[in-house]
Amino acid sequence: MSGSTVQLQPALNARSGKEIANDVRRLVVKMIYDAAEGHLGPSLSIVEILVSLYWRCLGRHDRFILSKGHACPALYAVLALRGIIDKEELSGLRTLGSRLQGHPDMRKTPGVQMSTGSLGQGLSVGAGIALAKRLRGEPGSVFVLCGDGELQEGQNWEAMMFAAKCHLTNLLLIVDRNECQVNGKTAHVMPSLEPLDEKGRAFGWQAVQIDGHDLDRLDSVLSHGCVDRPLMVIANTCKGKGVSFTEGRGEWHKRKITRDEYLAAMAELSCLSASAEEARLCS
Amino acid sequence: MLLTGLSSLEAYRQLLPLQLELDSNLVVLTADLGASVGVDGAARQFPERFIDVGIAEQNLFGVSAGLALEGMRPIAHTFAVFASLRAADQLRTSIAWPNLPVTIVATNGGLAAHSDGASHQAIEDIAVVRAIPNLMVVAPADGVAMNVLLPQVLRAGSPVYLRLSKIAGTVYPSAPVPVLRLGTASYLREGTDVTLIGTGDTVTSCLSAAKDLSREGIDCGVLDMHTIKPLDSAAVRRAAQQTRRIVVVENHSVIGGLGSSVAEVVAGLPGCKATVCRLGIADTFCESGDYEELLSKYRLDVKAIAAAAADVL
Repeated sequence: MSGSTVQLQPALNARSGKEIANDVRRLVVKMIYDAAEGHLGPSLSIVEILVSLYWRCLGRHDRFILSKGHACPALYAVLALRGIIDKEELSGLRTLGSRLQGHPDMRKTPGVQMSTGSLGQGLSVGAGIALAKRLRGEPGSVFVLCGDGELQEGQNWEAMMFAAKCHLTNLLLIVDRNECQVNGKTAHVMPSLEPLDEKGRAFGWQAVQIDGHDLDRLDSVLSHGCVDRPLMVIANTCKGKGVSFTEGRGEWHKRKITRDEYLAAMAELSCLSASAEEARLCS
Repeated sequence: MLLTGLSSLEAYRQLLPLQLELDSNLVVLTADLGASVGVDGAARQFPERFIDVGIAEQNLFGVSAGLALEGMRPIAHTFAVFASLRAADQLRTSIAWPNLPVTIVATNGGLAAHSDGASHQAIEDIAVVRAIPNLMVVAPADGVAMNVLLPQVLRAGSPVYLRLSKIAGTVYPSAPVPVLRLGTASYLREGTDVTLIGTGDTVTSCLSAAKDLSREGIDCGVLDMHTIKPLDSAAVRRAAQQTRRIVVVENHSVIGGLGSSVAEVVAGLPGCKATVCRLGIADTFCESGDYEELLSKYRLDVKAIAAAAADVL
């Protein structure tokens, strides 16, 4: 059923997290190239976060909501590599009849646990899920991934207050702090977004800052989870990470990739010790 | 339980704890409101299933969606202005689009919030929620109707916007229990000259107007259109064909609400020459006042309804 919880199999091959992240990036670039549209920059910055979640941290009682829904190409790539959707579907992103919508649709895509796309809504939903687990005494944590620009939406802070009130120690908010938004750097559009960690603590959460591309650090923090209050993990990332000409570049928020750019990007993202099947799909 | 003569809201207040008793999956949510949205009794009797998100309606709907994702049956309560406007995106994107079974109870529609004034008088809510797919829109006429419709609403399995009113309704007797089905209009009076269609707290006024009109020799049918969406278009077609004159009365703007919905159907009937007169708030923000005085000023009282019906003939 679309939107059902992820039933993860342990990774059967010995690919490292770095190799998997690379595979994800290659699939994302190809997907957006084929679609002639998509949010490349925002998708590339969350790759390590998703790899840590989907290969290490998410258990069968856990839930994941991609609140920054426009980065769904990264999620779709992950779902394909985990065998939840077919890799062949990826080239149909955003096309009529595809199960892969421009923003996540839980009624269309297996593995998508909540429909998102309008920013600022995912944390409230995550809080509701966490609360339901609490009310029923059920195990599991709820992971919500949002953008830093997204935190300018007031609803997030309603949810923050609420989560603290309800002592939702099964709720984690991961902030993709890539420092960019549509109209420029977040420091330019909304400088008073900082200090973000202090804001989190002021709202009754625990807040930590980590390198959002450091898989070991992500594994450690995300699997450890909350202590005595909900946890905000500010993951410092780079928009467009992994491709030299997209890193930190605002214009890669949403645009098509030209054939030259596609070839250049794929050349940079070499397939590291690929299996034969993955080499075929990566090229 | 005697529900005759009660408003839909007052009946709901008494009925909600009974529903909570029957279904352990139901959970009551609000944004810092209590008696005004009918949850005070439920909050006292079932505190562990009462969730107050504070004055945060957008979060109210998001949390409700999350609870529904986990298989619970949330009922989110707030004023109609906030439910339909302030948190419209959340209602549409987090609840309606994924088709999650959340019931939204919205009170203070139209002039019912009479003394609070324009900020709290929802004259646009039906227009907004009607345009959202997957969302049923229901407005029970009185306490008896509330009792019959509530179980159907709570078991719909899809999102429902339930517009309740604190204005007393005297449409249905307690016995026999009326047979009301969501999606099917209720025929209160047959008539050949003109049909009045009301919803929620206007149905009582429509009935009174019909009685007044019959004394003047005007044979007036009355329909209780408790389900605004999906509209019972067959009933509208029948009314248009049989009386050729329809007056729709709603505690809402004349723009975009029930009147517009009825007019949409009638305009699409091939070869049908029927007139639809829409009675409601004439595209203006209203004001504070006594309820009866406001009804009179804004032409929604029994006198205005009867006059409109006579005019259309």
